[in-house]
Amino acid sequence: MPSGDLVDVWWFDTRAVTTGPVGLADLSQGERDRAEAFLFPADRHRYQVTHLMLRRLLAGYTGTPPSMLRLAREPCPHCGAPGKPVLEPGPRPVPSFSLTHSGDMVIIAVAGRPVGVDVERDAAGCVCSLAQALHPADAAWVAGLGEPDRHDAIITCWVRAEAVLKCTGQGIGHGLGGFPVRPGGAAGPAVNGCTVRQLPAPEGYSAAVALAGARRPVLRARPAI
Amino acid sequence: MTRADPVPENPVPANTVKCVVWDIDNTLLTGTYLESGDEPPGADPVLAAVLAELGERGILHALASKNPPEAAAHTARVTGWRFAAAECGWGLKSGALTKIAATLGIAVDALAFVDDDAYERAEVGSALPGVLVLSPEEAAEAAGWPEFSPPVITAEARRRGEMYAERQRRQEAQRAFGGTQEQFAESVGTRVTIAAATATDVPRLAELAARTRQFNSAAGRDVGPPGEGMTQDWFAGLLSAPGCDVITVRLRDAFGDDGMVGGCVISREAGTWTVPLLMMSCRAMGRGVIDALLAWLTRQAARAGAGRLRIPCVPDGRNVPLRLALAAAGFRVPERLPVVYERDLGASLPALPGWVTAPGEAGPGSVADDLRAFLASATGRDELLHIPPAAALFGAPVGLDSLTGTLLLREIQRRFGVDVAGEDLNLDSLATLGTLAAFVAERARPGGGP
Repeated sequence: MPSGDLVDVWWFDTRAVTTGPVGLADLSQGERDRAEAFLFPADRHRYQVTHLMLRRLLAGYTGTPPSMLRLAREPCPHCGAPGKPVLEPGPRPVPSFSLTHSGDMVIIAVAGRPVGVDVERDAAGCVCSLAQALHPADAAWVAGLGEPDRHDAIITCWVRAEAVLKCTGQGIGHGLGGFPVRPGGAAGPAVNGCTVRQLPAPEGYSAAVALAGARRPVLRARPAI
Repeated sequence: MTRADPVPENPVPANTVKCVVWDIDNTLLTGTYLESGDEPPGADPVLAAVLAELGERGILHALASKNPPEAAAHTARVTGWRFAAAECGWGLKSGALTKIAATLGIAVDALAFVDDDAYERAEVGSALPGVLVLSPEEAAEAAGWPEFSPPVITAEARRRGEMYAERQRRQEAQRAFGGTQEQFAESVGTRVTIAAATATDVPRLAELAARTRQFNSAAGRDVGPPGEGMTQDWFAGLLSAPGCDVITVRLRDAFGDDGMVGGCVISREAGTWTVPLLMMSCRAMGRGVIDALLAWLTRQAARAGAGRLRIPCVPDGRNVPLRLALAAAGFRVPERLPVVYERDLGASLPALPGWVTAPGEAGPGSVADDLRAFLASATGRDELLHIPPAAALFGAPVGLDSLTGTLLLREIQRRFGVDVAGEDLNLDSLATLGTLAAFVAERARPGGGP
């Protein structure tokens, strides 16, 4: 399990991973049912690959076989509804994790304390309408920028805010404009009880990670699978 | 057969037969089914050819026989024909014909009846005087008669047999369905499309004018200048006439595509909209289509600033269903003659069901298409153009991410002026593409006024 301020960041491209019957057998019945419900094969594949990789990675951290891992949902701190996926507590401490996907890319972040991660592929069209969803201070900041900086700034704010809300377990269902997140802002990297960092991302993607507490996460990029 | 009385200045054409009801023993078969032991008789080759010839013209075939149901299955096999309805039993043949007309949703006097037994012919002829009664010998010649020669034969007509089979499956499903007619229509993906007619619609419009009876405001008489029938030329001329709109109505659902089921002609003058011709196939009966067309006409006339909407109607014994629909839609006849249905446009306007797509109306059909196109372009995924209405958008089965979902809501606000997140606090409308489109269309298109 990553100790201290370490965050293991596992990136992978879903197109490069194949699933076989043996791998799929590691998924829970609920996960298999959900995979079946997808309309398009690409979405089903992405879902299967993501959850298979999650189980394999967590098996490596915990020593529990992938199919034996038990995942649960923590209640949302805002409304109490089932929210953030977590490992059920065991005899030994379990790591915190967060999972995100966009386009073909998936990131799984693993840490010793609550962690959140978000990746977004650049949208094909204009994203200016999203500025209204941001905190007013961030919205004012992006409004003052010219293109293409404004576009990049909106996506940057989005992934930082979503990473923070996934770290706290609230998610973006209640909005993501509750606090400013822009890089270099007055509060620095400390946001809403977390510390947020931009992740280096492949061309066409933006990503950020947030770790609970005031200490800056130390990133440990894991090899692509 | 009662051929219509000649009315010199306004002739009523011979009734076109929509369905031929055939006897089996010694008519379609060359012998008697129950008396032939292990080898039932084969098909009469001449009448089998008549079945095919009339079927090509869009005329349906049905069976009425004093036999067990197996005889109908055998007859279908040896003639190679799929009959739209079959009544097998030992009751009166006139009763069988009445049931068949009800099953198919057509008027009894749109039936012809063929039987080798003179007693059966007399019984049907006296009980149902509107039915064209024929011996097998006469039926062999029938293909040349005007009653069996619809003036136009369209793709819709050629598919008619198939569409009646779809209709039977739909009716069975509806009987099994617990809810109301509106809920059923919604659950089977009913789509009514009202649109301006184009040149390719003209043959079908002329066919509807000639064939419809129960929903035909002209009751088969010509409207427009005397001597000009409701021909293809007449409709083609209206397409480019100033102040005139020719409207088509199409219908489909999960059971099948009925194609163009109706239409109307609108004449727009200052302050008054007049509908000189309104017609609807009886296939659309009971499916909310005529009500949707009347609601749309009312809404559009009011929005255009007209004070009155007039629908002249030639009342006869057969277009009672149309007149009932007009009354139910709030139309009234202020004077006895001429009979003109009018509706007050000042009162609150009728709502248009969500499954109707029409000019001047934001419908969920068009909203759903807009949303699909937006999602496909925002994500670069062309397959999203084919998301079915019942598919959940988030999580399985489509798996939109949160950023795309937020972009979608912003686009809806920009394009339709509907703030989904603000008006639907639980975001229930986001469950599926269909619920979202219906929510947006409902708010973009209130029923209360123009």
